[in-house]
Amino acid sequence: LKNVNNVKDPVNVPPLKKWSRRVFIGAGTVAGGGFLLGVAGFTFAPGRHSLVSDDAAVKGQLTTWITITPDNIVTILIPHCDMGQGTPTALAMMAAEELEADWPLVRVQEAPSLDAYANGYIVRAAGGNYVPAVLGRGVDYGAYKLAEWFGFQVTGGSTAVRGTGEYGMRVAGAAAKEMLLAAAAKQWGVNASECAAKGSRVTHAASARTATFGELARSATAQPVPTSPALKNPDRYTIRRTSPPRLDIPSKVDGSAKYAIDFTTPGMLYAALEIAPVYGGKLISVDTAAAEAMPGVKRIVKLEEAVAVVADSFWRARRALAVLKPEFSDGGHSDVSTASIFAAFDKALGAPPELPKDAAKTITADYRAPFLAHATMSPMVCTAKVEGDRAEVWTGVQDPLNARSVAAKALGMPAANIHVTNFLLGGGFGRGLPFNFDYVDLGVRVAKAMSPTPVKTIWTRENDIQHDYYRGAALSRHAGALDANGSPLAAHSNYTGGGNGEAVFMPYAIAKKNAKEKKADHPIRLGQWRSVLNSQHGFFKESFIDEMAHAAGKDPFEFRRGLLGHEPRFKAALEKAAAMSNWGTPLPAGEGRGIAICESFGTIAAEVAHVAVSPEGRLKVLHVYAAVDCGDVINLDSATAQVEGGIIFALSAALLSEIHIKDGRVVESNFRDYPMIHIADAPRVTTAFIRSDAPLGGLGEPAVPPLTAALVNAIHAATGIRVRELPIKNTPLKHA
Amino acid sequence: MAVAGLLAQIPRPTDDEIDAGITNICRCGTFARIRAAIHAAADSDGAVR
Repeated sequence: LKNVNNVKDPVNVPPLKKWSRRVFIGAGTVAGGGFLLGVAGFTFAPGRHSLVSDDAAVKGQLTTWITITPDNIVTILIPHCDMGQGTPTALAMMAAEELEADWPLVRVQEAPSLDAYANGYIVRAAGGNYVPAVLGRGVDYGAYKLAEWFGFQVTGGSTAVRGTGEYGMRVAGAAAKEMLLAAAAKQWGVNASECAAKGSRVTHAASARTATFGELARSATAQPVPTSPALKNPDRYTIRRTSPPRLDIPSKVDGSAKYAIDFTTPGMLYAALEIAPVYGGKLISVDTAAAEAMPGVKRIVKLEEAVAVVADSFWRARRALAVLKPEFSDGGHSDVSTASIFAAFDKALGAPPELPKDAAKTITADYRAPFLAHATMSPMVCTAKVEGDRAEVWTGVQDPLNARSVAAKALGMPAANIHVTNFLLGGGFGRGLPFNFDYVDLGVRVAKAMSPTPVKTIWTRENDIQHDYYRGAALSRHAGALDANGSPLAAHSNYTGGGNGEAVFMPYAIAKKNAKEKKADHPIRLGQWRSVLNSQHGFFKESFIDEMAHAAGKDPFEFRRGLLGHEPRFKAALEKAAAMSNWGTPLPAGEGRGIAICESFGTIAAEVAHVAVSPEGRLKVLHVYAAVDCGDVINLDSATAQVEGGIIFALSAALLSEIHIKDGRVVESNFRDYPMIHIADAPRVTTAFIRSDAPLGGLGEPAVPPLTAALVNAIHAATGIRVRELPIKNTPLKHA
Repeated sequence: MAVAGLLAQIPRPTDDEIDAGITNICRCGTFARIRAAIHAAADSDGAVR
């Protein structure tokens, strides 16, 4: 995470909490090493497990996550937000599977924004020490403490299922089941091992006695919490690996699902914003007289870097904003442009990486990726009410706890005095991650000026596109060497725009593979964009290996396959994608297939794109085949949807998307100049999951990184034209 | 709403007619599912179940 400028002071570390009686895991391993060792390989805050309310016995709350009420309804508390990805349903399935709950009787509820629900899993993923193997095993105590300091309750980094689900929900479900069995056994005076749980019911077959979970819940809370409950053999799964309809479908269909834009409160006013067009610019002057005289306008609020019109409707606020002609400074960046940034990249890269002297053949190539905006379906919204030394905030974020910290800093009050209510997000893609909460910052400052009146600050699409935390532009310079047999000796790269070990990783058996970062700073504000640095590097490295295959005179699939003997998971995924696409079978003239494979967030995704390019250069993406090894799937349909959605998301960006910088500001402002693909452009997508014995991998992002390379590789196969600059629309594809 | 409008004009649209008639942006990338749903709606009797 860059832009770490509004975190709580890490020096103020709260005292460590003791494990309590309610801890149901890790107690055995606590002895001796304390819980420093006890939580190794375990994802969650120990405090989370001890969070059982005083009236737990009355409410039937068995653990932090699971509540069973007398009506036999199981409610799973979800410490993640839903931005459309289906996480709550998947997590509930993991808990319900171990609990032996009857799926139709299971409900979900998002956890409140409390410190007790802080999750540390994201920290390792975002902190620059990304090591997939370590992530697969969970997160250590240090990462948990970081999460607590920073106040993270994050949904991002494709971590919810493999973190919260794998290490939390599963264990919670199993523990709750054992407590229910123990309660039934005690009630019937039998041995718990003679009782069985199934379909939200405990049965003692020998005496033909049976009771529902709801009937047993209250007495189950009095049972000791098992320290290491037995987990189900995956061969006996009945809920996981199936496709039950997502629990949020009815609310999305009937409109009862609530997003931040839906929130209203009595007396609320609306604010429209104009923000300094150059990042770092300040408001110099604004003549407010004309706008103040317009109907419905309550006040013009001047902020350091923006001006807001507060009115009794958003339409009136916008109308008045349009007549304001605020003057902003340029932050000293008025000479920054796309051209100046790429010129600096080019200069920083210098000569291509050096290659072995004994190479029979060498190739070099530069690849270029633009800045990108997230363009979430719902633009940013923040409603706030500031009254005295307290504040209420209603918004949609991927991390409500960090949003609370941002509001606290902006208002100069303790975080404990601020209550954040988080709503569903209409898409996240990384825009709602921690340190990206300018909309909360601005929203609470506008509300502070109007205190105690609640104010809803709504961003327009123009605000959103022009004031994003962008996917970084990047230029990458590659050099490769082949021996006389066409076997690769070296594949090096120098890159700008950021990278990390995972993003630059090439699984191929090539003796020399060095990827070096070259720094060329610029003032454009950056953030995390779906799949983060993998989004650029997947394009770079999987394009270049394709170019090496062609230089070697070999089939791109066979070339890769021959270099993956030591990586069986990669090899299997590659072979599966190739087989799905009928790789190698003849295609009509002007059609081609391209392949690429990337590992990200613990998941390996191999994709084949099948394209047709007319002689005039009109590109049609016909079909994308994806073979995905994420260890195992939870909800098969949701998992498939994440792969399909990731492919379309990446495809839209690869074909069309580009943010330009001119005079220090963003040129594009709406879908007319930052276009998206439509249904007519969308290819068929076929997805297959490979069940491996690998730890669960993420799914929100891993379908994105290979797509662009698969696409340009397919265009090359179809036309002989090698696209090395994104978006693809900028390269003429006219061919003979 | 766009699909209701399309089906009011063309009760059983072809894929090409869907391509021409539906120009909404879907940031979640559900286009293939939307297409399948349009065909399913066109094939149904329109009754609320």
